[in-house]
Order: sequence, then C-alpha cells, then structure tokens
Amino acid sequence: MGYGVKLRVWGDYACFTRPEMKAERVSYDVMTPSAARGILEAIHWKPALVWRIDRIHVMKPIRFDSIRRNEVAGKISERNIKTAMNGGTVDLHQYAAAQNERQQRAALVLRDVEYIIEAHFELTEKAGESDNPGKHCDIFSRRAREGQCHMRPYFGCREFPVNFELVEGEIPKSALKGEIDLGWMLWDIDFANDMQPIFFRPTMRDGVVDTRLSRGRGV
Amino acid sequence: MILQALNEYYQKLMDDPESGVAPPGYSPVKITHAVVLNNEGELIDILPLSVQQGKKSIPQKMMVPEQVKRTSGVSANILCDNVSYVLGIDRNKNGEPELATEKFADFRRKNEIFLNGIPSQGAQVILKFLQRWVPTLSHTIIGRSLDALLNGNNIVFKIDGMLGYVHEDAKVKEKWDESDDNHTDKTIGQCLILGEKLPIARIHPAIKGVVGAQTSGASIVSFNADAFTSYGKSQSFNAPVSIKAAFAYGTALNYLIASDTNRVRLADTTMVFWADKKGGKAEETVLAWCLDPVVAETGEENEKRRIDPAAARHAKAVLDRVKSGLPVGDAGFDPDTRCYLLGLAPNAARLSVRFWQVSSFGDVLEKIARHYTDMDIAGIERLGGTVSPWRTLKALAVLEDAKNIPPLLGGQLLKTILSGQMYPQPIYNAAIIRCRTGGEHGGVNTIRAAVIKAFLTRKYRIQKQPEREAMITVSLNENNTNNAYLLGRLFSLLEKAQKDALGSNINATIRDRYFGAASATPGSVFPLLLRLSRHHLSKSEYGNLSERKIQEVMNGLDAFPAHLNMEEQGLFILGYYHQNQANYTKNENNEQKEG
Repeated sequence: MGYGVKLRVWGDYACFTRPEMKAERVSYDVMTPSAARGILEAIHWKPALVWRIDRIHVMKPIRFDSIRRNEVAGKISERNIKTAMNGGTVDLHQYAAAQNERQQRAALVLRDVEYIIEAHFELTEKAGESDNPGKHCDIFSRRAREGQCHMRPYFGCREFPVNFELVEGEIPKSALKGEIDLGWMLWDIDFANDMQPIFFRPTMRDGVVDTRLSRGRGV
Repeated sequence: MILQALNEYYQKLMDDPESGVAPPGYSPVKITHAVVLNNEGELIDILPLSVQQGKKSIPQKMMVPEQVKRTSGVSANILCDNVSYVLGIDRNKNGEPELATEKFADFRRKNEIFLNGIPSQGAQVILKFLQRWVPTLSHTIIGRSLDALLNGNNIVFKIDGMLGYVHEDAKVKEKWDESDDNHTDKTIGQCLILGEKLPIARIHPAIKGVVGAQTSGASIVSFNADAFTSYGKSQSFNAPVSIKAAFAYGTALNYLIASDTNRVRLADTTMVFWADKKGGKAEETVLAWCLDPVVAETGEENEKRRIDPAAARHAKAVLDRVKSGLPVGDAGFDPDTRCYLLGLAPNAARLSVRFWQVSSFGDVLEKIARHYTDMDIAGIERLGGTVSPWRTLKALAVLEDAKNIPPLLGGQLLKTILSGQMYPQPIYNAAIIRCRTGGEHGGVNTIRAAVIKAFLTRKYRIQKQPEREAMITVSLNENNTNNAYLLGRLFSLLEKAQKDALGSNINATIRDRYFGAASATPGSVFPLLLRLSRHHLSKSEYGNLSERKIQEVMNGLDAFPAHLNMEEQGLFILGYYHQNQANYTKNENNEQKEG
C-alpha cells in the first residue's frame, strides 16, 4: 500500500452506464471502479502492473440531465476489418446519416462531476527484472502532474472527456453528507472468465465509496 | 436502483391481496369466453364471460399461466389463448373467417406435452379434446357465436359439471409451477438486481401503456440493435437480470402504469410514482391530483375522472395548505413517506428513462406547491388557479396543439416541477416566441405570461438576487423601474389608446403589427408608435386620462434601447400583460361605479 496514488478528475458530463439500461443509457449515481481503472490506465499502464481502486470520493452533488444523441445501430463486421487488414478495399465507415443505420438514443447522464480516485497498483507475473513499484509510481506521478496520457481518459463515453490532476497531500472533505445505498453496481468485468460482469453493493458514506470491500473476487 | 426499487415494490404488492398482481409464472389476461367440454372432450357450449357495463362489455381478468411474448410467428400458450390457437379459427385480411390449422397444431403440441401425466379430470378431458378437435367453421356451436369469438380476446377451458376453470385446477397449477422452475438449460449468472447467482432472463417483459410506444408493449431493457451489445454477449445477457427479478420488476411497472393513482402522463412522458410503504394510496392519490389538477366545477372536459371528486377535494386542501406554508396536518398524508418517481418516454421499440428521483412525499409536494406559487399571476384565477403542467405545455406549442409540443419538453418540465430546479431555458424561449407570433389563439395569454413569470422568479431566486426577485410580482407593479418592464406597460397603454379611439374591431391593431418588433427592438418601433398615438389620443373620449398614464410610464424610462435580450423580452411581456390586466380590472370597477 505504500505506492498509492490520488487523482482528482472532473468534467462537465459523465455517463457510467448501467448495463440493464444500455440501449437507452442511464448512468449510475457515481463512478464505477472499472471506470476509475480506465482513467488511470489511460495515464500509465503496462502489462507489468494492475490498478486496484481503493476509494472514490464524490466531490460534487449528484445531478442528472437528459440528452439525446444520434448514434448508429450496427457494428463494423469483423470480417470487413480482416479484409481491410489484408489490404482489401472495403468501406469501414459507419454513417449515422443513413436512415436505417441511425438510432436516436436518449441518455440520462451526470452533470458537472468531480471525483478523487484513491488507488494503488500491484505488479503482475508479467513484470520483468527492470520493473519495480517505485519506478512505476514515479512514472505515474510525473505523467499525471504534467497532464500526459496515452489516450484521453473519459467518463464512461468518449464524448465526456476527463480533466485530471495529481492530488499531493490531503484529500479535501466531500461536501456530501449521510449514507446512501447505491444498490448493485458493476464492479468490473472478469475478462479471464468469459467476460462475466461482477456486481457489488457499495454504500456511499459522507461522499466516499469504499471499493476495497469486493477485492479478492474475480479479476 | 430503478429496477431494484420496482422489484421491492413487487414484493409489497404480493403481500397485498387487493392489488391483483400476478404471482411468478402467471399473467393477468383479459378473457371473453370459456369453451365448455363434456367428459368425452366434446365441445358442448361456448360461454361468454364479458360483463356488460353500460354500453361496453368488459372482459374478465384472470390469472393464467404466463403467456409468451409474441412478436412474429406462431407460438401457443398453455390452457388459455385466443380463438385462432384454441379452436383454429382466424380472420383473414378481409375480415372473413378462415382456418388457422398451423396455430392450432402448435397449441395442441404444446398443451399435450404439458398436460400429459397430470392426474386430474380436467387435464385428461382437454387431452381428449385436443386429439379429437379438427378446426372447422361449420360447427353449430361455433357458428352461433362466431363473430363474438373472433372479436373477442382470450379463451379458457371449462368442464361441464365442474366448478372453476381448468387452468385453476390444483393439480394443473402444481405441474405449471414445477415446470417453471426447471431451468436446466438456462444460463446462470450474477443477477444485477438481487446480487445472487440465478438463472438469467434472455428476454425482458414488455411494458405496456406508455404513450407513444407500441401497443403490444415496449421494453425498458432491450438490445434490439447490434451496437447495444458488448463483450460478445447476445440479448439480455448483456445485462444479467434473473428471470425472477425480471418478472417482478416488469409486473410492478405494468401495474403502476395501468393504475389511475400512480401514473401521470405529460406530452411524450409517462411518469409513475409509488410509495415505499404498504398502503401509501392516500399519498399517491394526492400527488396524482396535484400533477394533473382538474377543476371539479368546470365541466369543459367530459373525460372520465381519474380521481374521484372526494379524493380530489382532499388533495386540493392538502396542496392549498402546503402552498400557504402550513404543515400538511392531515392524518391521511404522511409527508415523510419515501417516494419514488420515474419518468419514461418511448423511443422506437424501447423505453428511455427521462428522470428518476427518490424523495419524500412531503418534499415533492412542497416542490409542486412552489411551482404553482411561482406560476401565480393576475388573471390565472379564471383558469382555476392551478394550471396543470399539461395545459401549460399545450399553451407553449405551435397552434396550441398537443401534437406540436417539442419532444423532451414534457420530461424537462416535470423534472423541474418535482425537483425545484431552474426551469429549462427552452420552455422560457418557447413562451416568448409564442407571445410574439400572435395569431388568433396566440399572443400574450395568461399561461404564457405565467410561465415567463415563473421562470424569471425562480431564476432570480436560485441566483440569489432577492431585489430582482421582488420586482416580479403577481399583478401590476407600478414601482418596477426596469426599462423593459416599463416598455411593455407603455405598449399596452398605446394599444389601449388605439382601441379607445378606433373601437375594438380594428383589422390590425398595433399589437398585431408591432408587438414582435417592439419587444425585441424597441428603439426602431416606439418613436413611430408614439407618433401614431398622438392621433389616437386626440380622437378618443378619455384621451387625457390615457395621456397622463402614458406620461407617467414615459417618465420612468431612460431611453428606447436598440434591442432587448431574452431576459428583457420576458420582462417586456410581463409588463405588457400586467398593464393589460390592470386596464381590464379598472374597466370593471368603472362599470360597477356606473351601474
């Protein structure tokens, strides 16, 4: 636990889609641990390490907004991609303008969010001799401090980018008070086991969701 | 949270025998006829089960073995189905009777498998019937009630000389409940509602009765396009919900939508709400009325009252108390009861969630009262004092036609009313645009002015500008020195001067011609209007009085600005409306004095 990191993330919109309402998206009330993991991985990740989310601090009141977007109905077929990779000429575009491709989807998203993610990482068996925790911790801190990332981290949907900064020192107290049962929530996907989703039942106490409770199961 | 709360609500409904919700494995279905068989399995009679109520005949509702969700193709149900499956008679496209042997064959096959080995007389008789029945149109008994059968709904079986219907037989039920538990080939996974490892539903129940959705029902959980799936999963395995929980939430939601006291419809949004305790009916009724107040006195709408007059009076009393800031103080209304609110809207074959709120009844009622207080404006008492959100939206639509209500607006308005947040900007903009475009039913009317007033009041309150909030009043505020407000009043006075001079049968008044321009670009219009008014004033009988009033307002003005922004346009309209109302009441007083 010596190598914990704290990252403040914020943005205008967020959508941590509930799996049951995925077609007409409805967001969870707070960030899911797997979304937090995705943000950290966007800043620094190697096969040698795995991120473990410890706590998520919810810094702003939970507010929802309803929006509609035009999206597409289909996926690009795997075969077309293979053809393209082999040098074949296929059109890999999807056109939301086409009547039968376009799907208007409503979404209940979060507005104006800010979280502080507390996490640490562990080395995996893929770690080589040159990997040591101190080094990766430094790499992460340096990159987060300078705002570097491999890809733009996002809040659930690519359209909702994440602003981030490293928290050095104390985590400020969340303005939220009281205890809220968040219901069953996606914890992560078990990629090793037929991509089974795993759910956990967090409780938010004074704005803090402790996600360590479910450690040791799955992933 | 949504499905979880619905699942909990279902458990409460199950404990309440009066609720009439189906236990797992059964569905409530409308039955119009019973086929009566003798012990040899011969058809001996067809019994109509509908009950006459006034002009309509109402089919009976019965709990029958759960029916399949039919989208296309042939798929029979057990022991209860429509005439095309049970007797193999259907209507073709021209409405003429024809045989449906394929459907009957499927019905026979499935029921034979199910009924085989059930040690009850009823089951055995139906087995005999299935073996001997050949779909025909020429059977005398069928011939007698052919039309009624074809127009009817579902059919159940009855054995001559036995009480009850076959699907209600204890042995049959036993077998059905058992077969329902046989999930040998089902996928097991962690249910996201219950959290336990259970068999997962492949298809979720259809939700019926949401306005604008397909009548056969739409799904709240559905994956009807490839883009909605992920991680290599098909159908509802993308969202693992156990069969048990899926049935429970679907039944609860259908129950709420069908209920009179738990549902409110507004434009394209259907809202349901429910109490987190047993017997929260009183609270639910009050809320239903408050969101759709119908004034009992005016008989303008002849539709069936959803809420009986006594309950409506009770609800009005509760609302009035909350409006004037008093505690509810009513034994039938517990403000601390937790309350769930869910707004649904259709989107093709799917349902989308427009809003979801967990709150207490007292809190929600306070928010609703706040809304009506914000909407209070001089003249609204002629509309009954409380204008339902439905009428409000209609007043903002083009031609005041409900069809023209912009999508999303209904949900947004309901959400604002229930949460007490700032009104959405589109509602304000729509009100201003409708005020400016005029037309026979257009122009500035009470509801539109009320919306503008409510929007501005709430905006100033939330932005903590008490002195500006205080400026927005229910009726004419002669101390309001805001330029836009004064311009609105001036416009009203000029219009009155014109009417006084030329009578009220003018083809195009200055309002018809100049209202839009005056409210947006006063600098270019008012000098012209003032010039015109000279002629009107000299012509009119009470010219001096009007002139003095115009002077009064003019004294407060600093200038005619080149243009007004959206907020100022709202104030302009408000000033115009208030002055109009004031003119009107003064006239009334004068008449009274004269008379």
